[in-house]
Amino acid sequence: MRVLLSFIKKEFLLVLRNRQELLVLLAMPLILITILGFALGAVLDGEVSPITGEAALIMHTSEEEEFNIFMNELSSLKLPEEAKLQIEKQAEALLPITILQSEIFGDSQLQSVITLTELPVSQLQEAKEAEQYSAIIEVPEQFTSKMLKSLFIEETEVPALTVYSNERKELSAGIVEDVVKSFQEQFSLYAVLGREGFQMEEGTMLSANVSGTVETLTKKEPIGAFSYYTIGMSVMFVLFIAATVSSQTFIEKKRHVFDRILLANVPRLTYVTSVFFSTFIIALFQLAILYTGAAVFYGVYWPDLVALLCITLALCSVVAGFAVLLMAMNNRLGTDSSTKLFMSAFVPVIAFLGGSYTPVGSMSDWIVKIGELTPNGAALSAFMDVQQGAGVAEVTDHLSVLLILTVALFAVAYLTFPRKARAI
Amino acid sequence: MLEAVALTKHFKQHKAVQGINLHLERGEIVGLLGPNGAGKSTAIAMISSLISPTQGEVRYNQVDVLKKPHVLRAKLGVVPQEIALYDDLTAKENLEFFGRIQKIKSSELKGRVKEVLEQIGLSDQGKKLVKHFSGGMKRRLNIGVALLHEPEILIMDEPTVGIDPQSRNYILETVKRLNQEKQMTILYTSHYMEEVEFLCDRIYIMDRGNVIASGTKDEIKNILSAENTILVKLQRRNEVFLHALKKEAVISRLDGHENWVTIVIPKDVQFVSELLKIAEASEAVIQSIEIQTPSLEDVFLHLTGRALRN
Repeated sequence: MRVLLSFIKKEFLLVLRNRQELLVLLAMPLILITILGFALGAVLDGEVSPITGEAALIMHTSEEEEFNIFMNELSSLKLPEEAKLQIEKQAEALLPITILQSEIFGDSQLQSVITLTELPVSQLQEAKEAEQYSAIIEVPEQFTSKMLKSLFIEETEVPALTVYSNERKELSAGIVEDVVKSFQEQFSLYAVLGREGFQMEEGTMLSANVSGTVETLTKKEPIGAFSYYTIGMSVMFVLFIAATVSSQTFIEKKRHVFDRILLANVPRLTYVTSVFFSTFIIALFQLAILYTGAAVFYGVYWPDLVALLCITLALCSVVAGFAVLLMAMNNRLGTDSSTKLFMSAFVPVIAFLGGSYTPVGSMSDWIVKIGELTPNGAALSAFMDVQQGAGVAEVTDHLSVLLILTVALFAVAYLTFPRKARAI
Repeated sequence: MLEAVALTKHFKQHKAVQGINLHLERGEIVGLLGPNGAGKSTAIAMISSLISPTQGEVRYNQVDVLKKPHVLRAKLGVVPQEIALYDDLTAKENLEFFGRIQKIKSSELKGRVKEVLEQIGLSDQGKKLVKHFSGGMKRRLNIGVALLHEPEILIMDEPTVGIDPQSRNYILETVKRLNQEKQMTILYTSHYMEEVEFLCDRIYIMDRGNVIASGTKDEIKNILSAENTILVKLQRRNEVFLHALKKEAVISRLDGHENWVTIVIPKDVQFVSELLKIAEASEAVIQSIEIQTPSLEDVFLHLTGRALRN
């Protein structure tokens, strides 16, 4: 036990006195949490859409002219004057293009995504060729007059609005298409309802219906950007502890310090175990510092501290397992290429798959599945569940993945570690 | 006390050590001399149980070290050629760490660390990080770590490589003192002839994986006892003089380098008067004549035809 503690103390001091390592292990994740939290906070928190675009509206006849055409047609009808006045009043409130411009595209939430600009007909071709617009809405002649006639006088064929989509701005163009389609469907519905005698009152008319409360599909509490990136960065950067410790063990070997350890009759299992526990403790400290920092600076708190501790311990165990495996591989191969490969390729890939950079939930199923089997992915999912109110019992699947990985890594490492290890 | 029998080590096609025999008796300092690449480090790695020999055996007090390495390790201190220390720990922290893994009792460790720091002359540097030490101080601490558990046998692999003369002298004096005061048995490996001559009672000379000579200093020098070396310094190089000397059958070896001429002749031959005559005839101006007794360097040159530090 005393020997084991000596190894842990030594490793701890070596990390603590290496400023470059400390920068990577502590400062980097905190800086990234800050940057990503602020930069992507609005997006992740649903305050700002990452998709924005501009749409153009081109009318062949002004809506005023169209309304006059409708009024001429209305006045020629043999209807009581009172009824005509009633229809006029309702028609004025239901001018479709005015509604489209002011009510639908004028809605503040849709405006933050799509800006609608009215252009003269002469610029239609130019607008089509320009990359500027995500979509162009062309309003044909007699659109408004026929729409109003259909709503208030008789069933008639209403010319459709034409939407030209810019395939290079697929997402924002799609939003415009959906909005226009929904708009036309609602007007058609009102036309039918109107003819069947339902009264449409001013102010109950259409809206883009894009506002509402934010509700997640799983009914869980939504996760804020700072919480997400505190977890994402922590589960990624804790993996670097394995690289740090295994690099240190390789230096030990290269400098023949390992010879001294062998000559001191330190058993093979004690040495392997010391690497495991040194990494475990250092990883635990790193996560504690990162979580404390996130709590102090960004208010990232944990509703269930027991669950937090359980996942943290399990994650630190996997990291320690990696350190032992890398140490054993370096020892066997006589080079630290395993550690270098782990740092430069393995960690970035599993960090992506595990969702450290961005949520992978919207990606293909197989990426999600693989991600959940990575140590950082499993830990991230578990931490997120706890942030959303889950307890230990609800994250046992993820904890099992972490513990199985730990046992497997340690076993492979022990078998890989040369029985007659010596310095190079 | 410690013996290596027919010790052999092959690394694939490379024969690093080829069946060497070597023994250490209690309280003696034994030198293992040879140029770089002679196989010294491989030999001591096998002797100290760090690598297994391809063939042969190592015995410590009749115990087979290959089967029971822990028996030797408990009594052995090894000073590797490399600085086997943690740069980011202080001298004291290094000693404490190695002391603990050597299972020195907590109650004794503090005292041992203090004692070792005194032995190696670093008492006032204990709290300094090793990375801020000079080369000589690191070498001394490298030795200090091996002394912590008071070993019976100390194996030192080129402990003075790359340090200033002052630190080198300090280390040599320390080694001598350890042997005299603590009766420590020491195997000292070096390619510095003068260190081995100063320290060692017996010497093994290795070259290309073989022990090519062994014995006490005098025994080894006696290899060349049948010959004398005459060192002649000329005012300037004289080819006629050298040509005339080459014709002398009594000379067993002749070397001319700039204005120096080295002549090796049988010990019983009086050659100086003849030498002066030849110089006069060839108009060579002699500035000095020195008759040398053989050094270990001469022995090595004689045995291998190469200088030690080539």
